[in-house]
Amino acid sequence: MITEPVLEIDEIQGNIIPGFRMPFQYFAGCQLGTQSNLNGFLNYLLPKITTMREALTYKDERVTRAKQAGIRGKESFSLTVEQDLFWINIGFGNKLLGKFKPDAQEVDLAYKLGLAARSSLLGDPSDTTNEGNKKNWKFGNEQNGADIFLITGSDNEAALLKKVAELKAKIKEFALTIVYEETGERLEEDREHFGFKDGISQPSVRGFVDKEQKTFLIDRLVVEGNENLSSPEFAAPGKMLIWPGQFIFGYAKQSPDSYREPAPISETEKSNFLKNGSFLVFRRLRQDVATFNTYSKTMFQQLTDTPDFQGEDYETFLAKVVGRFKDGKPVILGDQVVAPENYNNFNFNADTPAFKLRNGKQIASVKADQPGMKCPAFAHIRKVNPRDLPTDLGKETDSATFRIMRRGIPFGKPYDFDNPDNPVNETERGLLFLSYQTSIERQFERLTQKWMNEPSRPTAMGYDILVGQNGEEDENGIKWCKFMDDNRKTKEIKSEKTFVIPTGGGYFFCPSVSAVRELISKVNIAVK
Amino acid sequence: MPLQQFNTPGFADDLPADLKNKWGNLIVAWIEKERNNLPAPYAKFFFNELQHPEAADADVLPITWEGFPRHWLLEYPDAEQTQQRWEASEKLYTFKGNKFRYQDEYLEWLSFRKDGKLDRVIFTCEGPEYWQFIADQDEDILLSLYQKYVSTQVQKADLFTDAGKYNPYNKWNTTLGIMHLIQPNNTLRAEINLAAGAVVLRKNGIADPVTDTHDLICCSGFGAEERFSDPSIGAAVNALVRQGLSVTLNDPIGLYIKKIKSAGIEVPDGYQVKDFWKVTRGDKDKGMILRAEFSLPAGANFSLEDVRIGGEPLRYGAQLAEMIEMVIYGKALKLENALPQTEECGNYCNEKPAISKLKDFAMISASIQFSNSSAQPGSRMIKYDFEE
Repeated sequence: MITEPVLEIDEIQGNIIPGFRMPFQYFAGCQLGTQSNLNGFLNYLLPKITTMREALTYKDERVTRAKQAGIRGKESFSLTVEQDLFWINIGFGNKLLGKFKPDAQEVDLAYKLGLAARSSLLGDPSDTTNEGNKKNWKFGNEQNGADIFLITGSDNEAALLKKVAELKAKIKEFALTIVYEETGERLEEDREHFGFKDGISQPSVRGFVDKEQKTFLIDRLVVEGNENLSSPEFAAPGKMLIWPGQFIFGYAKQSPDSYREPAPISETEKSNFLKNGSFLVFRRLRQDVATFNTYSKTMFQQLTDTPDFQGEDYETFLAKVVGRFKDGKPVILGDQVVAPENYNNFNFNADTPAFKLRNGKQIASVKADQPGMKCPAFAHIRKVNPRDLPTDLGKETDSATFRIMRRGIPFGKPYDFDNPDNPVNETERGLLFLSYQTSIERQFERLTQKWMNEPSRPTAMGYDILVGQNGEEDENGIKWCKFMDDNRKTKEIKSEKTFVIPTGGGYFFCPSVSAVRELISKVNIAVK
Repeated sequence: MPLQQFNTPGFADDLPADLKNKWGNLIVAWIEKERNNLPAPYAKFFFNELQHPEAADADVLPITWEGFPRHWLLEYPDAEQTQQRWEASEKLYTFKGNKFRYQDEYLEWLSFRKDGKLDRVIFTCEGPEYWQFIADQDEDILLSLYQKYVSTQVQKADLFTDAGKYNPYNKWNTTLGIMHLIQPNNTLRAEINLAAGAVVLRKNGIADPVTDTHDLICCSGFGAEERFSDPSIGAAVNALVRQGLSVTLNDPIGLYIKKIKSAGIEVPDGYQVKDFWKVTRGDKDKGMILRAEFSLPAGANFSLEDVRIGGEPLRYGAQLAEMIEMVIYGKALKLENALPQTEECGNYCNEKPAISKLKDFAMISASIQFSNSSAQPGSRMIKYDFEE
């Protein structure tokens, strides 16, 4: 029996785990100038940083009340005793942090170089007239990158705005310059702007949240079904357990060779400054909903013009592009009736085990779909998480080491399909994408560069046609993907359109509370 | 149109018709040898396309992997070790007196430097057997090809031992130039052996059939686990057979560079990556590149260090290898109605190989075998020590 670590929940920033999940959030990117009082600002911020303990305690209460009330989603935030909260987390860009502490840049080349330097690698448009080219970003290029990134959230919109005004006054007082600010808001049923329910599949992190080692971060519901030691271990159906070192420094990592046994922390990662910290990727992704809405029908037409695929319906076509229907049900399940809490219980390579849960419930095995007849190999959810599939980058066990912890939230008002002339349709909307990981290079960038943007990998069935980018020269951004029917007949369709456009962002390090304190002392010395 | 004879890798037009035909016969012999080595019921699952004209209409299935060796990523995993990783992959190592670079993803390269700065990089993915074949058949053709692609200074005596045998480790293929693959893992036979060995479905007491990549390699003894290439190829082939399909390698059988990814390579204004990437053998449009050079365009008034890859100045060919996608092409056909019984697991991994020391990486046969004898499953799992 391998002992799982005790997570230092008073040190870890709360948006890393369990995530703010607040319905209303505000983000700000700040630059420092010669007049800035970084020390003063950090001293102001330090006691306000929302820790994993605070976020967990609140979440436990909210989820308990939500279950009792039978309410899911953002409405559950109205049920808690505490109201009008204001949570805040912080991240540092390397241009600033590298001056005081080299530890973070030593463990991640991508962080060291920054998002702007890596933009081309991520497939972002090289044409400087293109909206997605870094020169046109709202923030995050070589000129307008952020030194400090602030993440705030509240259960109440008015409370958020009030507290943000106070925060901005402090930012001004300490002579920091805001180069970017934006609010995000969770949409109905937690859908993103294309209409799909988001955030269903998140890594289930191993570890205890108490020193007594009695309470796991993720409750273990499975009593039968985890017997095969060479298979993943599940906390609940679809909740594969992953070692925390993939997301937070200072803990055992996921092994590339074993689903269950941990990999040790490398020597360079054994830094006290890194411990309990995490790298944050922020990408402001504009979603072109109108184009997606019309062009997806053109793509659907391309598919159904072929006799082998004439029976396909539009909603199933969309579900195959994403890997899930709009309500989150995985397309691999077909017509099977499954409870929403089990929407993440499926594999691609081998059938899932049958589970017996602590409450006596039996969960039947789910058939895999290695060839991609039901859930295509190019589907977004399969590209970014091949689950138990071996890939071009390693064995099936290795695939778990690429997982990221997503904390994104939509921005902008929903598109009004009923009234196409509604002025709201002319406004911007999209996703404020946030992911936490302990290697930007080997987690976020790998998923993006090697799989989403690459039609031949991990399987040569096309691009992630929803989110992927073709940044290859002379290819005009054209993407393709190949559908396969039950008789292995295939049909390739093409997209000349881009539905998701990068418009800003940055790579940041989100230190522990103690590390922020240490940074203050370093800044003090530097100032003296 | 049904295949009439196997072609030279990448349709290379180096040989007269009779020798091309002879090469095709050699491929047939290798395929048949591999089929004979399989457990009898599985021979039908690795087919010879000359015997199956219906395969002409089958989809071609690319199986891809990354050109930079995975074992160097495992050896130097940290960001601050990036430069060490690149340097190590370009060093020459000696094994039994033969020099080669530990570049084992069927892609080898040589970085040429002028005054210590990177001047050009040449990549090859041509199996040594083809070049041994040419040497055996016509020494003059071999010499002319070396002179054409490597240096006009190449002499016949440079390429052959005193005993008159072709020396693949000659100076024009090691220190002064690069013509074809020589890292002992990197052979065309290995590709065929791997594809054939991977068709057998296995059981191991836990799984029936085995689907786990590590277990498959240990059961069947094909390939080396620490590479990107072998597990990718083996897993893809085995998965097709589990679906009831028979497989083969698509003609012309070869190991190929599919492309260099230009996204991520930033070149000075006014230029494109294609101005630097010059394909000199093989077919770029078909994704069957055999040889390519990365160098400055004519008239450029800057250096290769002005090229940025992922934000880093270009200083090593290794950086380009990370941007190169390798490929083999397969085909799959439904030839059998039922799968054979799963075979018991072989015992090719008595213990998990350590990957912490270079000497432990050497999961290879002692020397390149150019004879017709088949590389037996598992032969590449033997450990040998390297001296640096």
